[in-house]
Amino acid sequence: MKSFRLFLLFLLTPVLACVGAEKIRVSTFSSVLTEVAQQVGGDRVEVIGHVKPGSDPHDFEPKPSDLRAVANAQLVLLSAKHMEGYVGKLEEATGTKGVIIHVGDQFPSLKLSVQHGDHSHDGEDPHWWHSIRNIARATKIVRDELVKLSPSDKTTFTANASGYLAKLEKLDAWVKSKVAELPRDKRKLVTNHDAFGYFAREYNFTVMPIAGLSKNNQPGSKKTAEVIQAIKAAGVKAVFSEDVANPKVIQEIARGTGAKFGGSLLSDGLGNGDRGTIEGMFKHNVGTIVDALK
Amino acid sequence: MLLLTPLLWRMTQAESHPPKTVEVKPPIDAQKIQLVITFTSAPERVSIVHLGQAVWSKHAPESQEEFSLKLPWPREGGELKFKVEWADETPLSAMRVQLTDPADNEIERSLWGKGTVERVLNFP
Repeated sequence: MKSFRLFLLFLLTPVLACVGAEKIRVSTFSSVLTEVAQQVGGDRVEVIGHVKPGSDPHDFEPKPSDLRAVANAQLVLLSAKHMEGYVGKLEEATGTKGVIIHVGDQFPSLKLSVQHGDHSHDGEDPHWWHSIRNIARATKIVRDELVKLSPSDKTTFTANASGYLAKLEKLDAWVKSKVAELPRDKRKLVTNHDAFGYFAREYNFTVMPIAGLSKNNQPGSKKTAEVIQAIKAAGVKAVFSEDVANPKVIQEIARGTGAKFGGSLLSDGLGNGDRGTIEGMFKHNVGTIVDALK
Repeated sequence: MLLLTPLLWRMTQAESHPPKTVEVKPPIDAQKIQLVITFTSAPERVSIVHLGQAVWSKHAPESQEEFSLKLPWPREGGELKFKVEWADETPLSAMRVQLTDPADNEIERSLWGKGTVERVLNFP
């Protein structure tokens, strides 16, 4: 009888182990947060990134398959700072019991003037991921939320987060070193839309966006003429487009000012291929900017 | 002939509008920067890089070094990249940098570390 019980235990051990190792289901609405959740959660999480690398989060609308995944998620990570205009619908339509974390709302915002037709009002810049310091803050938030969901995995999540924070620190040192190759009076960043405010603050750049916060908000001819004048006065050497934006306006600006077209930057999240990681995004953006403005 | 019209038009337009040139600001002249570097433990070697170029280095520096450099230093300020090499057995140590810029502003920065430490310091 005793040997039979031992045999039964032997048979059931793998099954019990599988039950114990059920992964935490995480839904993210930012390609940057997808990487953070994967890095911190490791093998203990199953992350569904709804906003794919290379796509525009400003234009994203959840599909039925996204809603099903959110309904089933234990943790939902939002970029926040008003990036996900659909968040109310998401909660109502899915009835999710998962914890919804507005990650970006948990650290300070850059304030901006947002133009709506013939009036403007104060708004928050949602592009917080262009500051490595903010990504480190997001990492700690994700770590703490995962520990709350699975306290028994605290050691794993803490170790994973520490390793990832060390990588971010190394990346920040690389960015500072690369940017230091460029004199401060040449750090003028002309881009399609106003996405690089946090980057500019961290690394002493002045941003000169052509459009507002959204790429759909294209400038009129008066604004374009003003920008051309400002670029000429500042002696800007190069202007930049963005991966998910129409480069037509920026090319027109380049022609109008004589500045060269410096290349395309990743503004709204991760890209594809080598640019599909946070490290890849920073190395691409910083390398492109510094090499063109030198 | 009609098919060639757009091509001819573009060619003549290009001739009548030569490409514009960028009004690049003249490079900033090198100006005198005064530096005082103080160590809690003297390192084996210290070096400074500015705009990607090595501008100063010293083997076995004293616990305090005072010197000046002539560097292009815009009104906006600048960065210096320091590489400090402490001996492996040296405990956690610090370096303090006091920089006086061309406008006589005094800015103080510090870094801590063990072994070899490379860091960019911002002024201001």
